[in-house]
Amino acid sequence: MNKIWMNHPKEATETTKQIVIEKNEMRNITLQHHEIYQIHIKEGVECNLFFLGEETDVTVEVFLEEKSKATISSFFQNGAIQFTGYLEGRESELVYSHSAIAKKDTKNAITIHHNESKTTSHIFCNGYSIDGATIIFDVNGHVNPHQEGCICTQDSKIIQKEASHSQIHPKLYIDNYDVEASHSAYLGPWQEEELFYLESRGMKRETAVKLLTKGLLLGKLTIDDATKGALTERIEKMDENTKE
Amino acid sequence: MNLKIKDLNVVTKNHEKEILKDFSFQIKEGEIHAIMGPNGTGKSTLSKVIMGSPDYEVTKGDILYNGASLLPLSVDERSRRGIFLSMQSPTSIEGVTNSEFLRTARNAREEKPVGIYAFIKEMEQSMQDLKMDSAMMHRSINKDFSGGERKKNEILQLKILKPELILLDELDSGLDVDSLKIVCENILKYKEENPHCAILIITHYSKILDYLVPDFVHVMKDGKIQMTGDASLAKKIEKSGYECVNSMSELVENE
Repeated sequence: MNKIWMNHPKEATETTKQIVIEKNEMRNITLQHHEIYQIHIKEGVECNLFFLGEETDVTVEVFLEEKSKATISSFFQNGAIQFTGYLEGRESELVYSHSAIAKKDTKNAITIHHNESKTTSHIFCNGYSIDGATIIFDVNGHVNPHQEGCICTQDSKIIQKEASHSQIHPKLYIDNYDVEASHSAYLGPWQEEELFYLESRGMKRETAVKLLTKGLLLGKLTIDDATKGALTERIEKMDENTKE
Repeated sequence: MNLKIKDLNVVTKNHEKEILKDFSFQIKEGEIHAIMGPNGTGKSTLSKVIMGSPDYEVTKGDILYNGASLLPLSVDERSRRGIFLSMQSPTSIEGVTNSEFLRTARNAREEKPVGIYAFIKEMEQSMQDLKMDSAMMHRSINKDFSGGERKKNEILQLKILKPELILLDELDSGLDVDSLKIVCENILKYKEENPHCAILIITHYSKILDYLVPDFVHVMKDGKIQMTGDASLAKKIEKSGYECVNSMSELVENE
């Protein structure tokens, strides 16, 4: 039986924004609505990228050459991302942490293709749903039959401030025995155990929830202090202006 | 500081199980008490109920702290009044760093927020005292910490939050011999600096009581205190097990 691996990138058009990373660097990129970005990370390069998306629906494709390493963080406010990582080079590594805070329905799809052996991907998706907004995380990891020694993990969490129809779809398509793969998912309200721990140290519930929200949405992102401060303000502002 | 528990009945939240029954107990300023007992007798429940855990419900009796009932108070209010529970299995929280957590907790009990540099200095000193790796300051709360690191982290919080009633729920579990000594030395130092604080130790083993010598040892069984003695009672239990409680008549009133 023939298997078809859907691991082809979108065809670049004139409007596709091409970014080539040729040396080690940190870069913040504000993503524009309805744009397609293709990011090429050259052999041996280590980079740290941060995407900010507000009220945007964007497509990002990242290509990693041999022994390159990308630590990518994204923060989306009422926006959605279609992110695809192509691990094209042997021993390439992608750590992608995506945070979404939403007051309106958003669907995020994160897909990783391990197209070479000894490639690694760690995906973290964290969402905070306000006013009953539906956040969807479709998280897909593909390891082809010929690629050995790959590591493919995904952890997703969505906290619902109020009841919502949010969903997490963690999927691992593994067609090789020599693979380390795992996934975890949590969807629901704040865990009482965590709240009790923080409250038992003297924090009011409101303060504890604020701390947890910040931890959920920013804790996994590799960003500088100034960006962290700016995002904290965004989170607090958005969380304060809720329907209740 | 004075904690008085009177005829307390406690059930699980779903009312399926009664854990404490007519439980009475008192701990006064400066005292060290130890509660020992077999598994499942309600020792840890007691500490959680004092802290206000939502997992349990008090159906009868009262817990008086400095003369006022704790029962109407929320968990955070109890903490800010000076009660600290070092948990048996401290919760790990992904994404919230130890330093941010502790600074927020410290500021929750101060009228004026603590300056960041003063706080970092104090935290670094406390971590040094506990022989903790300073990098733990920037790690998520208890995330991927070993059992010993978690317990040290609890005592770090104690040192920063400066409580007057310290509840140690099986502090010795997960700690190696050297770490137990370090942790107990830190608690004793805190006690020396704050002689009015009182300590309630919940434990299965008497080893911890070699370092934190109790004024009173209580043996708990079936949800109530069956026997009270001095520090030597712990040694007797270690030698003969809890079965000896039935055959002994020793009882010291601590009121």
